[in-house]
Amino acid sequence: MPRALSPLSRGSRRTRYVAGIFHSSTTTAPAFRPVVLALLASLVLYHVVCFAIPYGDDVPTWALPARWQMFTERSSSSGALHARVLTPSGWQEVNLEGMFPTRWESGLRVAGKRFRAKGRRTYTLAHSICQRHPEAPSAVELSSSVSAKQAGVRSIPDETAVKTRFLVWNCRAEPPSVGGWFW
Amino acid sequence: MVLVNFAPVWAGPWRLTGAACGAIGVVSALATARGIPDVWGATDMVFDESPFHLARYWILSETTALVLVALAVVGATGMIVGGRLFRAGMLLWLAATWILLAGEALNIKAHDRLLVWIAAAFLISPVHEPGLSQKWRSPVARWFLLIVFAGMYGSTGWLKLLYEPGWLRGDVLALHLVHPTFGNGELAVWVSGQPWLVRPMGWVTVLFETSFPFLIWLRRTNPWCLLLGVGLHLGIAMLMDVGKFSWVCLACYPVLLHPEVAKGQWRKFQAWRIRSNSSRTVVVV
Repeated sequence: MPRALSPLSRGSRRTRYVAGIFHSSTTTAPAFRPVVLALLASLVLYHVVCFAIPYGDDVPTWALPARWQMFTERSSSSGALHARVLTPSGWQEVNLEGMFPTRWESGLRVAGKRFRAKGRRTYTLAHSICQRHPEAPSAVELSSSVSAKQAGVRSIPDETAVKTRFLVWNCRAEPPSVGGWFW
Repeated sequence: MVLVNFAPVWAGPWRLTGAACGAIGVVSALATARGIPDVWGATDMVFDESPFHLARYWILSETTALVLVALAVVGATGMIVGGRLFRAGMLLWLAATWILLAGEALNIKAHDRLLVWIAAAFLISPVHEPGLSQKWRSPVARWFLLIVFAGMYGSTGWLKLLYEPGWLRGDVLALHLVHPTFGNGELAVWVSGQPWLVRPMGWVTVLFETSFPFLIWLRRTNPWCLLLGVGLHLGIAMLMDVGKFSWVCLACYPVLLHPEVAKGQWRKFQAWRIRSNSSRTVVVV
């Protein structure tokens, strides 16, 4: 005897033997069908509402699960993050990939767009560079550059691209603290 | 008057989709493990990110991250084994994966969100039952997954059609193919420079995505819709580097396929297997 099934499967329960094999057939009980249909209709409505958020606007948190904008917008350029440190011998370039090697599908962990503007994330990154650099720098400069992309041409960082400095971090400054329990 | 038909549908495809998602879970959890020392082991690089703000309460250590990865692998393995292990395994994998994602909070991708929807479908599906190839169950879980995929493809497709005409000219796709991280492979760069290729590829992409929400529900167009989707996702897998997105989508296609078509294909496969086995039968005289 089959075990008690969920409301989605309880209902007109039929079992039959076909060519010696046990076949089990159940479906949603009639009493639950209006509720199920209402929930599915709500799901459709949710997706429609999420789609209707004006293109280009920030997506509110409640809409993130059903807002799908994968590669929709044109991407004519690619950005890069650059870092320099101020040591007793002067400004030196930092190899960010060597210092923070982890790569996700979207590339180097610290290379995304979110690290190319001033904010708590970049303060944390700058302070981390202060800590990790072997020459104990006194300041860290973060800048970003933009290189144009061209169809049919491999995108490589444009060494001549103009760098826009957006943060100079004093290594003596307090970094943003995050107060969670470390475990 | 019957408006919606709740007739039971063949439940066999759920087993394949469940096992495929489990396999993807194992592989992606093991890939995450590579980043442990540089991410969760880096106490100087802790970020308090929305919407979770997990780091305000709990900063994951390297050891905890390793334990979570192991739990994710165990959970995803339960999904592959199936049966009674499936749901518990799935919930374990989901919890472990999302604690890691929330702790790092800079790398939540579309396929991570999609897998949550798929997990919700699994919870209301018969995937945990043994012997699914001999079972017919409520169509509701399949409808749920169809709505999610229709929403996903339809949303991105109609946004392209309405707001980015460059998709129909092919130049938007050409530029994405040379993205420094998502593209830039040799084949992708070459394809990007061929307007006679990228333009029809853009048309097919937009056509598939905009029509999917409507055609996937009809028995006659359902298989062709999915066949086009297979081509699209294999193309994405060959030309771009977007992680496990293509494989997550393809893993769900057995369930999205119309159950009558799926059952027909299963019967053909079983008949072929019987013929192969009988042709190998050795008669000893």
